[in-house]
Amino acid sequence: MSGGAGSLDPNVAPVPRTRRGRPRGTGILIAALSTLVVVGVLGYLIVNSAGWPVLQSNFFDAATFFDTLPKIVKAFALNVQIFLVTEVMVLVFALVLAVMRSLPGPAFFPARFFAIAYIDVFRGLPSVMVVYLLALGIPALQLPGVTDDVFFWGIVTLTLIWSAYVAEVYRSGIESVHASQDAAARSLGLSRAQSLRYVVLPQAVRRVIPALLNDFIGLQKDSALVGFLGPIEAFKRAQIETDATFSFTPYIAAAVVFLAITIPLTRYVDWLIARNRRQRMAGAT
Amino acid sequence: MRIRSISALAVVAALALAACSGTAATPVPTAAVVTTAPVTPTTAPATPTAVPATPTPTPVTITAAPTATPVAVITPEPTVAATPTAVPTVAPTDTPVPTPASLVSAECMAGTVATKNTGRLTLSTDNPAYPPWWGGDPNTQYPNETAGGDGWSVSDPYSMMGYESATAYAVAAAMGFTPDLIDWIPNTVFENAFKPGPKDFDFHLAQISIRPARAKNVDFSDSYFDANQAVLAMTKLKDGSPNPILSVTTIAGLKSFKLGAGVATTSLDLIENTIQPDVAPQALASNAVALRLLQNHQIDGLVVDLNTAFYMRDAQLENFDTPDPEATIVGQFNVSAQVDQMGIVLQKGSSLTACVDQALAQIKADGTLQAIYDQWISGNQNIPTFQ
Repeated sequence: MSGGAGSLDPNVAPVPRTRRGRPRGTGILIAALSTLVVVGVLGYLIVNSAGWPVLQSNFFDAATFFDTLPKIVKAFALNVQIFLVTEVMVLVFALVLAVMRSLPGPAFFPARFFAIAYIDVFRGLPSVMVVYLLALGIPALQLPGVTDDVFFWGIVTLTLIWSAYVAEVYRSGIESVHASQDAAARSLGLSRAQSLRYVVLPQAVRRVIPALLNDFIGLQKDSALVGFLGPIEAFKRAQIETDATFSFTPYIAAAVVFLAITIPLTRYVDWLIARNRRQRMAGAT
Repeated sequence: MRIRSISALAVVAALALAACSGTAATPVPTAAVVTTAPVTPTTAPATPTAVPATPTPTPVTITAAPTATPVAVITPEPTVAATPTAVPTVAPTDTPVPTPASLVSAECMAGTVATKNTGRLTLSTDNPAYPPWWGGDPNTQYPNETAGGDGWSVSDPYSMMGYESATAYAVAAAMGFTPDLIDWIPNTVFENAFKPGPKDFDFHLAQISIRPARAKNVDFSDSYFDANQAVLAMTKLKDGSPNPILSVTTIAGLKSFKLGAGVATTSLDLIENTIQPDVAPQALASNAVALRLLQNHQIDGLVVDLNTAFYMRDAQLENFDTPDPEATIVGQFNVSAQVDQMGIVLQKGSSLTACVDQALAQIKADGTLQAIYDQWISGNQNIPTFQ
């Protein structure tokens, strides 16, 4: 191995190396080169295939893209409203369900049974079906005093569906906290509820944050379901533009908008988790 | 542990393989050859004389079965003069209609024109297909229908009943295709009509409006129907009081109501561009959802084309012929910018487009299209026009 600590000349600074002995800069260079080659080959193959002009004019038409992008971004505001409101309600309701499910003892059997049945049913049914059944079915009863607003029922439906998924995520978090934590808390004199609130849940929720984020992103895309009932959100706006122009480019625009939200969000949460881990394990490797 | 991870890998690999093979790309057509048929009818001097009478018998056979009962007594078409030797048959009508010279050139006739299935015409429409555009009973086996049918629901194009079905058969007849040479394929997803790539059909009609932006991706024929839009509303509100929207007579008066329209329709354009309501308009996935939302009073009014409004009010809702109907048509629009023109959809650059245009010109000129209109499209029944 040349360079590095091998050179004994004090006037020559040693080349910074990675643990494997490769000079630090070359790793990035190799990665960039390899990516360029792969993307270049794939791109060449796609662009030179016989159907590419048709695909380009139907899916990647620049004029249509920039025409429809503002309308889709405007409609996306509705999606944002829907998933923000829903997410808050889901996080709360799912926690209630998860706690209900973990209540021990025969006295709490109805609570456990309800939670299990609820989760099974709402996870098992296709979402579109539930949306139609609840948002069209309940207003069909024409109950006095009950709002028929489509927006309201859409959010209620999404909350009910996603609480089922998130409750299971919470449950896995709770069960992953070692029983000794709960035992220690109880032995210190905390009641069951206090132990849950101050010892178990804080640890449990921190552990499952990546999975909660996973479900949040799924919910963001599911907000398009409310569009089936009428409100024109981003996906529906893309569909309207597509049907008006007979080109599929608006869907690409909607995809770009969705990715523009989810990717930064994911990176931000990754950073939060890493920071949290650094703080908790300060110094330890 | 090792066995479990291997089997897990195997499952993932199997799924990946299934996904790949399921989406096995249809071989990309190499240099799609598009021959635009030369329209000049100078090459075939003899054939035009053999064709003139063929379109005219069509209205007679249709008016013979005006009711919706699927009686299979549809009289067979007189033998089509595909060869120049046939003698032009005179139509057995009461009032002798002077037969105009054929407007369909020789290249467009059944024997010579290039179609997906040589010698046969493959047509398509959406499934389900609603009256008054289509008709007939899906459970009936019509003559020329494939055994077992194709899973049509609500209507059956092979019945030749309904405005679009009759128009399609008339256009085909003008081109020399008798009903036994016509195949129908159902289309369940609206977008399939204009997805990129070669189409499964020769032409497709499903109340699709001609728009310049759409014409960039498909070919449209000339218009075969001009449609006015209308507003349909429930007569009473949830609490039984009369619906305030019924008293609206102007476009401006509609602004304060929550209106809905089908997501793929130009009705939605009408709401967004002409009415411009204060309440956000609703785009509804299907007619079924639209009707349900209307009945639930979740939308105040539904904008659809006038004939669909009639169908919904009369066939799908109750009591239309009583003094207390379940739904009322509030009014119709005659805004010139929004009169929808419906056209037949063909593959972009198809050689059939010019032929279909000629056939349409033919059936307009000889009165066939008017007869079809009179039979299948109810009159405007004194629906007031919005100012």
